[in-house]
Amino acid sequence: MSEGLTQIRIHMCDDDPDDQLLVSDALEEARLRNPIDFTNNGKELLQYLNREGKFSHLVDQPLPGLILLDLNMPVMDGREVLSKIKQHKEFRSIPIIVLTTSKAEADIARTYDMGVNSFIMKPVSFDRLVEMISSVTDYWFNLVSLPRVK
Amino acid sequence: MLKHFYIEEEHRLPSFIVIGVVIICILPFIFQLFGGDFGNATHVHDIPHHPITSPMTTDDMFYHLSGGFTHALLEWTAFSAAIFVVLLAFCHYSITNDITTPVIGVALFCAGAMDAFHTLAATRLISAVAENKDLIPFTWALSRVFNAVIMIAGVGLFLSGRKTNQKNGFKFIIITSLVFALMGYLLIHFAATSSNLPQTQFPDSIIRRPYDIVPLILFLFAGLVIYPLFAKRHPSIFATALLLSALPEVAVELHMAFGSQRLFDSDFNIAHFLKIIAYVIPLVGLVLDYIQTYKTQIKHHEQLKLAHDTLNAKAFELDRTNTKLTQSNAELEKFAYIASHDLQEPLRKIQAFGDRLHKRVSVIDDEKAIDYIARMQSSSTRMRSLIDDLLKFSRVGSDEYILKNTDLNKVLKNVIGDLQVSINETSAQIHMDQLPIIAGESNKLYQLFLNLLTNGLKFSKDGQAPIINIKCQQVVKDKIKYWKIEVQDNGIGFEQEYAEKIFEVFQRLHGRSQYQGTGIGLAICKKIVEMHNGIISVESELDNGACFILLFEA
Repeated sequence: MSEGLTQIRIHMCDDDPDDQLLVSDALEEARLRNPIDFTNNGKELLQYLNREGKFSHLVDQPLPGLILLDLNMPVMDGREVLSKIKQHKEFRSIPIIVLTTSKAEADIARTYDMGVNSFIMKPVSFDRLVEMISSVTDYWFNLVSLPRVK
Repeated sequence: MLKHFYIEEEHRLPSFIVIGVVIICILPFIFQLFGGDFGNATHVHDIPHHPITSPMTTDDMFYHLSGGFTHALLEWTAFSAAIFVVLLAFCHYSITNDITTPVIGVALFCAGAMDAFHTLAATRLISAVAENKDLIPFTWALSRVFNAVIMIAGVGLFLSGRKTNQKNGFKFIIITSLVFALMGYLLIHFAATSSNLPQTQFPDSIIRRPYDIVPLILFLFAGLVIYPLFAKRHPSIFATALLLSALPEVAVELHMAFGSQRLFDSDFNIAHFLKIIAYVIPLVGLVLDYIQTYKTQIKHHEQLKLAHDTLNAKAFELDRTNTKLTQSNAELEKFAYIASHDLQEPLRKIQAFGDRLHKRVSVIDDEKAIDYIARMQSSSTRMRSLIDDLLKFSRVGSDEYILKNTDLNKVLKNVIGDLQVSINETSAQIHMDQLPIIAGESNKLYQLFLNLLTNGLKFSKDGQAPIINIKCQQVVKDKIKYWKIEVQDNGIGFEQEYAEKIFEVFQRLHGRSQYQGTGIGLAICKKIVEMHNGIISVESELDNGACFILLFEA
């Protein structure tokens, strides 16, 4: 693992604080030093990406290199924000992984149709979550070449 | 005797008609007692006394013929009534298919036609050889006898007890009509062409017209014996009216036989008038029969409509209940699905944070704490499998079943193929009959037999290889053909008293440490069989294997 890669930021959009805690714990458990920040719904995620409102101070920060997105959220749900991001000229290249409890066939088909990069069910045990975070970050940060994000 | 004349209420004539007829029959007689006279003053014998030289005025001519006119009018009215009777009788036949009315109608018409011939001869509209003073009384007596005989014959036809079937009914009517008509014509023809008619009037004796004694007796016989029997055998308002018509007929003959001394006298005219009444009564009977038939039909129609409406209302109610039931069932299944789905979420957290806690506690070396957490973890794992099974169960009930022809041999082949590992592990033997093709959902039938065979492999006796026999035969239950499929094992079995209970959700007969599973398998089996409109049951004995019996409509 090279030093430079630790800078890549992960973003998680999920209204459940427990899951937010579990994911940051899992990052720690996997000894990953990638910074992570959180938003609670799709609307906040859009504000975050656009550096608007309460996120305007982040204007100089680079955009995240990976987004973990829950589907069922209040205000604006994962499906809606996913379609908005994937239609955005700049944001569409950011890999998005849907991380949800839903295993409805319709959701899987629809989100891939909208251009999601992966669809993963929230693992049941913590160990599996750690494994998942490790492999996902390894894949997207080490294995894959992505276009440069401003 | 009175019983002989008893008429069922529905076939009675209205009492005012009966009373009216009785009064009409008696009234002229009473009038005569008090000096009344219905006769025509001028009779034919007066005509020659007028001087031939003084030409008669037209009015005089008519005055002289008043008796003949009265006679003709009365006779023709009676004949017209007879025409209406026969027409109505055929209408009646076309509605009710009752052949008695037209046959009797024809008999009455023939009698009327006879009267018509008699009148035409008397008015000289058809040539006749004999003198009117002989011709009129003789043909009258002839037509009266004919009238009585033909009515007795017509009605008598239906007293033999032999039921004429409807197909031959019309033929029978035609033949009878022709016979009657021919008889009538021949008699009149004989009377009109014969110059030597016997004397019929004896003004000085008690019985002034002995020839009329014959129809008198015949009508008494008809009124007392034939008509009542007929009304009993073929009860109708028409039959009752026929019976009543015997009264004026007899009155006619009484006036003629004992009253009338000459043509066109009071008794003569009364007799002719009463004859009209005798013809009109059956006509009234037929009309009333019509009204009754119509009313009955309306009543039937209304009853039918009422029954129909009631049935419709019930069907509607049933439909509504059905819809409600389907709705509540669907809601219940949806509820089970959502509830179990939402239960998974907090459970996942309990497990995840339990894992975290377990890791942290294991560092501080507190055995009890570690054991407690392990128990919590195992409980939450178990709860997860329960919820998963509940979800599976609710899906089995809520999925749409499209029943297609499914070959159970293929289904079983797949099941056995997928169980091959555990079959090999347990050295199990599975024997299978040739199975039928049934209307079913192949995925669900796969699950059904997978669960049943898994059970058979799982609940085997220690140290004994499982043997599973799958048998099939066709049976009939409640008049419906079924395929009866038995899945029999040689396992541990259970007491028969649990036979119902084991199909309930999460019902287990054994400890979890002994046999794994939540107890959903057989509940799912039952649900699948029921969704195929089938029946599942089980027969078992402790330590003696179990036999699951499936019935699918053949």
